[in-house]
Amino acid sequence: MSSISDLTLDQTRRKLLSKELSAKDVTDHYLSRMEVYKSLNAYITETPDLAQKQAAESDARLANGTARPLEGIPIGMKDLFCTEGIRTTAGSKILGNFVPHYESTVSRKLRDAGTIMLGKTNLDEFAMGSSNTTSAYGNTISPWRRKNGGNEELVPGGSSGGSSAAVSAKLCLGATGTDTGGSIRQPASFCGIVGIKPTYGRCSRWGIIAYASSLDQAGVFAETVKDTALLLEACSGFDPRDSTSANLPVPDFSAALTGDVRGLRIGIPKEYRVDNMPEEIEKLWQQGIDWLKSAGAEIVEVSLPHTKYALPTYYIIAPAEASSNLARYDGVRYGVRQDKPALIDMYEATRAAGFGDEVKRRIMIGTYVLSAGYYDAYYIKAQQVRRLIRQDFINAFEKCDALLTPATPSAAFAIGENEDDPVKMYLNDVFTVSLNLAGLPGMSVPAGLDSQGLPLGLQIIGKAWDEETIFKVGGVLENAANFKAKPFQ
Amino acid sequence: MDEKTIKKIAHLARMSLRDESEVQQRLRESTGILSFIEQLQEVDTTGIVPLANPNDDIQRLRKDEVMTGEIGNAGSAHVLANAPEQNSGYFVVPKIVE
Repeated sequence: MSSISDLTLDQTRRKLLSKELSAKDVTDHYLSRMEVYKSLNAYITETPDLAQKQAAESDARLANGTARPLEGIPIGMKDLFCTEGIRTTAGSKILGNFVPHYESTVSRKLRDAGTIMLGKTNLDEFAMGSSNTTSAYGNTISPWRRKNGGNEELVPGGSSGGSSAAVSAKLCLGATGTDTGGSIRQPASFCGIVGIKPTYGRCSRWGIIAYASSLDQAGVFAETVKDTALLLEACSGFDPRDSTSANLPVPDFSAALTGDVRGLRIGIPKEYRVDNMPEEIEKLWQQGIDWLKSAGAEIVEVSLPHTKYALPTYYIIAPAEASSNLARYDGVRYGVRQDKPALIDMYEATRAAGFGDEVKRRIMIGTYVLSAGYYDAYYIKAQQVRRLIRQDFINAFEKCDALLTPATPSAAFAIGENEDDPVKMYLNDVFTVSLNLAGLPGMSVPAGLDSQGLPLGLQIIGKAWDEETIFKVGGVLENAANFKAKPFQ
Repeated sequence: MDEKTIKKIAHLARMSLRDESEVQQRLRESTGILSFIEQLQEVDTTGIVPLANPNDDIQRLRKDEVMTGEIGNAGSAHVLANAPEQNSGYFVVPKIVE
């Protein structure tokens, strides 16, 4: 018999339902892998006791015929989702002792769907980063290595790097992420797995520690497109406690995996052919176009003229919202306080000691662009350009049903690379960030390897509320790419 | 941007700066990021309504009613549970009035 961790989420689900495996077998197997690969530092907090308790409940339900849709499936939870009674750090020192008394909507929905939580996965501090190196709880190490004989440790991407590393290394069958500028799609691409950020408003933000509220959106990682469809369906849906949650029915996402893209119009945005794009990325993109064309899709060129302004727009809006959201960490209601005799001194010392460098950088920029005299020139200007970026997509979608682009401008880089200049790190999100500004859904699907044997992903962008077309196209790309590479080889 | 602006912004954000070298570091970083975002000024946005939220068409307001949410009947104990210092059902802060 093959090992339990050779199975995908959907295969495991079927074997649990047919009683070839028990939830206890599966959970114990993944918990033991977490022990073996602890050095990857994919989890900030492991929850083996909870997992075993949940596994026992799953086995009881599987035995008495009350199994829920994802009964007995072990997952990782990004440590940005508040979990009742379990420390939730957001990757920050300032929340090192924070134990929520409530459960986020997404984690509750996944729990109620029968999943088993193995632990809280590592992330860039407050989800600010593309490398996982801004976490106060240490770097997450990618399970992948370059094939050049060197043994440099690579980043798993970020900010949801613990989740992507854990899924890729099979330290769980699926994981949650959040995506504010690319924080699901970039790590999925770096780790050779599937990651989807749904439409803004599809998953409730309630109980997710906020970074930039008008951009933040939860989503999921797994090994296959089908697996992400099952997970996303379980955690989507209307929530009255999030005023931006959409009151729309949740489609049966896995039913969209028909394998048939005949007649679908796939747009290729010409502005995504950026300067200095590595030849490998260009080639992979063309390969993706050819795959979809031979599957019967129609390829059309489209234009998104404001693409080059997406990153600068993001780096005004996201820090502005962050500086406002993070004002709550003042050492009064929760978090680690630095004691000082006077109130203002206490605030200033608490925040100086509690936040890391990247978070401080963004709070500084955000405070500046919101301050008197600069608000119109930066913040309002950025919101106006944001509307133009969204309009570009609306215009493009008059000519096509989905867009195909690269997910990232390169494969994973080594830990420590891109750290000399913050703007260099920000360029990682050049292909992903526009979607957050426009609120659109996007998926990264592993499509090939670079010359060093590292995974590269292609991104599928859908219309608002049309994740189904993304799943359909994703399934076809997945079949065509037949991506079988695994880490640790 | 200059040192004075950096110190002012840090104070507005209630984050103390360690020393002069941190002032210089923040100045360098902020100047770099600002010059990157400066390119937005070349976009003509005359008459464009700012977009605050991608789903601005579906924003809802809820009824103005008292809700206890997850706290339920546990009351203030849960609200105070993570406070660095509390006393008699209140958050405790350092002395404000001299």
